[in-house]
Amino acid sequence: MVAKEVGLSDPAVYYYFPTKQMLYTALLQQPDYGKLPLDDQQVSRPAIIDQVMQLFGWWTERAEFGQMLLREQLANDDASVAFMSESEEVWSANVTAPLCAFLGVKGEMTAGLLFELLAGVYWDAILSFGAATRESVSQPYYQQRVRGMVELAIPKERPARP
Amino acid sequence: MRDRRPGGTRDRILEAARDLFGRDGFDSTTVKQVAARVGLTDAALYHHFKSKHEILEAIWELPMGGGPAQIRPEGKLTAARLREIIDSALEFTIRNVDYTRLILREILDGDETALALRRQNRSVVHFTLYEHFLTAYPPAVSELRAEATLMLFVGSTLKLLMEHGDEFGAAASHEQFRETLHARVEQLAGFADAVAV
Repeated sequence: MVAKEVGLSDPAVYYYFPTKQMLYTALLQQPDYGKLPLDDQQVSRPAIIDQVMQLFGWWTERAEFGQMLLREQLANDDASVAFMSESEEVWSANVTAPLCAFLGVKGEMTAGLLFELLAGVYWDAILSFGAATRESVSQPYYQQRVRGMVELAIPKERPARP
Repeated sequence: MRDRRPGGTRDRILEAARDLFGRDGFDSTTVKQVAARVGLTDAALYHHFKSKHEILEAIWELPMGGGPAQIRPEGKLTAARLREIIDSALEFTIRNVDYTRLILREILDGDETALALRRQNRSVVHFTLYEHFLTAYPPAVSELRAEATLMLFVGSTLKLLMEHGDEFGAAASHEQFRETLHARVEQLAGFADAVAV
């Protein structure tokens, strides 16, 4: 089926990927998020929220990939579970420093909270909408909802020092 | 005579099947493996269920005990009450982890019954959270806070399930995991702000 989709013969595909597992592993590429809002903007709450929404957008665009990953992760496939941990590191690299600059000691905790919150939103969407995930999540209403949840997760002010 | 008493052969088959289907997937599990787990031959198992699919159908009928739906709001929502709801949802997930995993895997394989069951459970938990938030916030805000709290719970527990598989129960009972989850829920629910002021 894979061979047919790209117009190759089965042996040609096997030349590049001797096993289906090798083909799958090759698909596990960490996101290249490209240019992000905070690359050239001062750290502020709205800019952090834009940044987080753009990271989430990368995953929304790749809902089929997310669906495949989720299936393997639920089967406790080691490579897929390791991929999730790496994704969290890449995610943290893009949100933890700005959050710490804005929130001080609460920054790191908030980065972890945002990752799990949005992972939950993503997995829930995949489980609820299936093949229609990308389309459903891209709707302005849904995007607004996700943004609202991200706003709830980020305190409005730097907490007072204890 | 088929043994349909609680804890009887039929129940033992269903429990074994639920564990195996949840752990290894429905397609990868054979009737023989289910039968072996309860000490039966596959011929004996076919006496209770005509097919592997019939076992799955019967699993969907299994009752799920307890859960956060039994917690009703009393006065204005407090951080302590929110912890109680999260702990209850966590206990519920731990107790039904094989069932949960089976539902999720079956949804991804296109099973409509599994999808409907998850939808039902999801809305029950969402409503419980919503009712509680309503004691402290206006309806629209309460709805979004309930949704966000539920999504954080889903993200947090699914991640743990993926990382720990069969050891999920022990990992979810760990003090460190619970404290982190509670702190995150409190920040999301707006209680952390109140403390900082």
